[in-house]
Amino acid sequence: MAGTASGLAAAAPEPRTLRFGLTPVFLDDRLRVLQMWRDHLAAALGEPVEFVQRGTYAQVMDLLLAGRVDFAWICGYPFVLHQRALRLVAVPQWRGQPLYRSYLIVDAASQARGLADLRSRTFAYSDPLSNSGFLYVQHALRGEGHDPARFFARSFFTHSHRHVVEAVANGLADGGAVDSYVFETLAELLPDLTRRTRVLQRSTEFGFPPIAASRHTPADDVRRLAEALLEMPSHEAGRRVLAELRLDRFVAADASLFAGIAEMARQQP
Amino acid sequence: MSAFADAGRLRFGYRLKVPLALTGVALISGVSVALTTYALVDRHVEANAEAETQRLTATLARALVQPVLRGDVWQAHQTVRAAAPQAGDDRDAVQVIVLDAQGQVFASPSPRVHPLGQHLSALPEPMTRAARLVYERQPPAPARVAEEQRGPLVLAAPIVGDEDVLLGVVLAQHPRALTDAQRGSVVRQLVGLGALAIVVVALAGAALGLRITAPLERLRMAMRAAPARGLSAATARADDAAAASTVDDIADVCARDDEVGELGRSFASMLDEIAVKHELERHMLQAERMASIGQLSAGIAHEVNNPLGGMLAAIENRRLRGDLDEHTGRTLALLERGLRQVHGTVQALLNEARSEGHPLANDDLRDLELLLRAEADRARCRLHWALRLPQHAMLPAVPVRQVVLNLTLNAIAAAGARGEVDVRSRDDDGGWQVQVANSGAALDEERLAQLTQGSQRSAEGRLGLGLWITARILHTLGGRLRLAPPGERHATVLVADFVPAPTVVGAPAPGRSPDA
Repeated sequence: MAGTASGLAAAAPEPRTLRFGLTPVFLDDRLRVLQMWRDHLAAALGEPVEFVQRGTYAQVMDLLLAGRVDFAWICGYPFVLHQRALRLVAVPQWRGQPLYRSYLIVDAASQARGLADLRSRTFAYSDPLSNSGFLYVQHALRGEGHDPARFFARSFFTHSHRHVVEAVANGLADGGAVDSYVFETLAELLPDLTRRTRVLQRSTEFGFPPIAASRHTPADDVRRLAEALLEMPSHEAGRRVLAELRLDRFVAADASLFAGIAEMARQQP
Repeated sequence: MSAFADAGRLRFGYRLKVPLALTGVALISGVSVALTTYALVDRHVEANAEAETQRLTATLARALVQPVLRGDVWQAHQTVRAAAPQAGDDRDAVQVIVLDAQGQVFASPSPRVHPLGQHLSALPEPMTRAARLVYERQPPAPARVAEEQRGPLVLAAPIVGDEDVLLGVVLAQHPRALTDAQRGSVVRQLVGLGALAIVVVALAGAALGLRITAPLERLRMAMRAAPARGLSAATARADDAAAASTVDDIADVCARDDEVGELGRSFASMLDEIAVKHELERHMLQAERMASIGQLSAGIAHEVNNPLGGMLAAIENRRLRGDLDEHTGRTLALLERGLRQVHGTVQALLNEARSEGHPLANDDLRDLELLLRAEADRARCRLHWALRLPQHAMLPAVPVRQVVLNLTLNAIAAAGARGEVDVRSRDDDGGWQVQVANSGAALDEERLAQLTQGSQRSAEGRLGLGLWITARILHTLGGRLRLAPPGERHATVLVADFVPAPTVVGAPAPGRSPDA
């Protein structure tokens, strides 16, 4: 027993790995891009980086709040919900601004002219913790005087913006709510898929899904990751990753960027 | 004209028939195999349709417990779409629909055809019936609905939670036989691959057929060339040389162990027989020529020797009377020497004629036996030889040899393989008889008469020239050829009667000249 303890004590310290949680706020199934990004961050930070993916936003948020992952790319909705337990690291800039919208999409052949035309139909949400894929639609329905719980005959979550587009394109759902950044990226990568849908309604602009750090993450790590993200355009590898992600860059921001989402979240029962 | 007709007849001969037959068999076999394969594939699909569909519904029912329980429509849709293609892609493919506990569509790979929330009553009738069967059973159990003979098969499996709570139903419809698309694909592949296989087999069959018929063709060409050779003595020697060349040409055909080889050997044997006959004919003609010369020589000797003897006697008488002056004595001596020279010349001519007609001796009979046993062995025929010299008469060797040779060769040919030939002689005061019997087909008097005419063919297709020659020789010798009653083992018994005629021996009979 003593020998074993001695052996353990003599062992070299396990190398530290920065754990980075990912949610489907972007096309997180593009494994080649993820590998490029991970390698770039590891090189920039001088230590290994591990991307952690889970099936829902909530699972990743649980890991982040518990400090099981150091950072995560999350949606603005859970960020405002847990703002006190998190630190804002950086925000992606897309098409010149750190902003995006929620798209309400329907089948390309649909006759719907507005959200009201989807009454008693089947609707596909992205995730219960998604701003563009859930919160905005709930807010919009309430704004039009509808009860979100009864407006649709049937609704379901796909836990992925991409799957929302597929559900609508395949006729499984009559309408769906999707992140504009993901939809436009899909329109470039898989035009045959998005062509089978039509954007019925565009929301106002919201703060882009941010990179947040757990409160358990050392401040130095937060600073170094923020620098690495902000410096990505300075490196060839970083530029390639940004180009693949269809992003301009990562920028520093403060929580006020998510005020609109915070306001909708406060109205959410 | 005849050659043209032959060519026309042979245009569709075995050389084409055999390859075409093999090609035809290959075609029929290929088509049969293709049809059998199609039938087996169709039956196999039908036999496996139910088992496959059963596995599918059971697997989906287990996999969909949690998605249905949690109301996870997207997960259920993903699961069903992974297990079955969209119905719109192939209307004959398996169709899967998942119903919830209320009998409404919960998931389908084709949501445009069967949208979420659609009630089971709106489904196709067999699916509705199968679903109702599951909902009505307690505890939940799978159901099976089969349409008419070739209709679709519908299986329904319950999605069961804890304590046998029915959460939903998985419906799967599967075609029971080859679908139109599958049928088209199978037929295209069978036709394509089958045609390729048939072409290969047909080409191989044609090549094999040509290879099989090649020896027959060579034999045919050799046989076709054979009748062109004349059988006359004038061209016989050249023909025999050509025949020997032909036999050499088909030597490899004759060496075969099959029917073609047997045919080749029979043909070669026939050519040999013809060559032997040609040789006999040549001997006959030569003997006849020599006999004529002998007779002429005997006549000349007879006509010259008599006056010659008188003149020599007159010269001798003149000398005996004496009183010869020297001049007369020299003249007589000159005359005597001249006459003696003429006598010597005539005597030499007689001696020469006499030398061609030696009497039959044991050596002749031994030669014959040696020759004929070889022939019998080649024909795989058993030969009994019991020929003895005549005790009461002397017979000329050449014609007797020819007669015995002809009769025995004919008998060997008639007896054939595994046949039997018996040659024996009988000697009495009436003459010397040679009896040649064989176990072949029976020969009657009328047929014998036709054959001895020399223009008829025997049953085996050979010319009866041998018997004609034999009868002619016997007639010359004063004998005859006749049929004896058949024996127990011999269907045909020919008897050659040789009548002893001393004058025949040394036909010119120079020994019997007045001078002898």
